[in-house]
Amino acid sequence: MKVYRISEAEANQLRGNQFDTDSYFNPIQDADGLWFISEEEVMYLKKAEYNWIKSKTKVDYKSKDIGDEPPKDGKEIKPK
Amino acid sequence: MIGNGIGTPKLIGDGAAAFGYPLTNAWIAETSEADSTIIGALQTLELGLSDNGLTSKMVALYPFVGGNATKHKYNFMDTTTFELTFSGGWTHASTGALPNGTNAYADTGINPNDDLNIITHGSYYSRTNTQANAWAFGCNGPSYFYQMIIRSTGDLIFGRIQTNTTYQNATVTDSRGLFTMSRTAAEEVEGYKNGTSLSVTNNTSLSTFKADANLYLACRNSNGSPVEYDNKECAFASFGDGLSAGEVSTLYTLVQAFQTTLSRNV
Repeated sequence: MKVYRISEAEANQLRGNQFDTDSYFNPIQDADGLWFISEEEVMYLKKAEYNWIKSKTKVDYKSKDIGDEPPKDGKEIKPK
Repeated sequence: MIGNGIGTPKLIGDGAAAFGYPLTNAWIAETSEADSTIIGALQTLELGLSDNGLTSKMVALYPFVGGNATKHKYNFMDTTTFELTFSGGWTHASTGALPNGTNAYADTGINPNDDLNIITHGSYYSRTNTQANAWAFGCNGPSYFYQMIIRSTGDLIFGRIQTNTTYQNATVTDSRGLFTMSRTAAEEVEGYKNGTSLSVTNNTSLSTFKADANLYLACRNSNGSPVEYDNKECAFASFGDGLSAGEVSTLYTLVQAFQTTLSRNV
C-alpha cells in the first residue's frame, strides 16, 4: 500500500478540512513517526486549494497501528 | 396490510398512503435521491422495521445507499441526528462505504453513555472478507467499551458492549455478512452472524456502566483518538436497543432483502 508523505506542518494544515464534500483529511503518523495521508484522500480530492498534495512523494506505508488480538480467555485489558 | 413486511412491500389499497414511509421521505428530502430501486428498497426496509416492532429500537441506522459521502452520512431513523462524519481514505460506491484500513473512520456522533442504553445492540454489514485485529465499530471512554472486531487474525469475532469486563468471542472464518452484538440484560450478551447466534464465550459478562466517548465506525475511538482501523466495506450499520435472538434474525432477513434488492448482498 502506498501513501503520500507530508510534513507535520502540512498535516496540521490539512487536519479538520475537507478534501471533498463531507469527507475530511485525516493525516496520521506511520511506524517511523512520519506523517502521511492516504491515496484515497488524494484520488478523491475536489478542493483546488489542496492540489499541492498531488505533488507529494508517494511511499510504501509502514503501519504503526497494528492491534494485538484480544485475549481469548476473556481477561480484561485496559484501553490504550 | 398483509404479510410480515419482509421482501416486497405488502401494503395494499389505502394502506400504503396511510403508512406514508415517513423515514424514507425524510431521507429523500435530504439526499434528493431519485433512483427508484433505492427508494423501493428503503421503503421495504422501513415497512419491515415497522411491522416487526423494530423502528422504536433503532437509534441510528445507516443504509449506505446513493454512492457518495453526503448520501451515506445520513441516519435513516432521523436525518437530523447522528450524521456520520467521514475522515481519511474512504471509497464511496453503490455497494457501500469502503474504509482503507489505514486512516479511514467515521464518527457517528453517538455517545453510548448518553445516547444508548446498557441494553443495546450494534450491527455492521460487511462485504469484505479479511482478517484484521481492527474494529468494525468501537469506542472506549474512560474505561468502558462498546466495540466489535468481526474477524481477527485468529478467526475470532470479539465484542464488548457497555462493559469493562471480559470479551465475548466465537469463531468466524468469513467476515462477510451482517454481524451483530446485542446485550439483552446486564449479564446477557450474544453475538450473531446473519441472524444466527454464534454462542459467544463469556456471554454473562456484566454491564454496570456505559462507554463515554463517541462511537466510531471502522476503528475504535480510544478516549478521543482513532486506533486500529478496519478495511471492511460497510453496506449497513445500526445501533439502538438490545435485540432478542428473534429480533436479530428478523433484522437480518430485512437487511439481506434490502441488499439483494440493491444487488450487493453477500
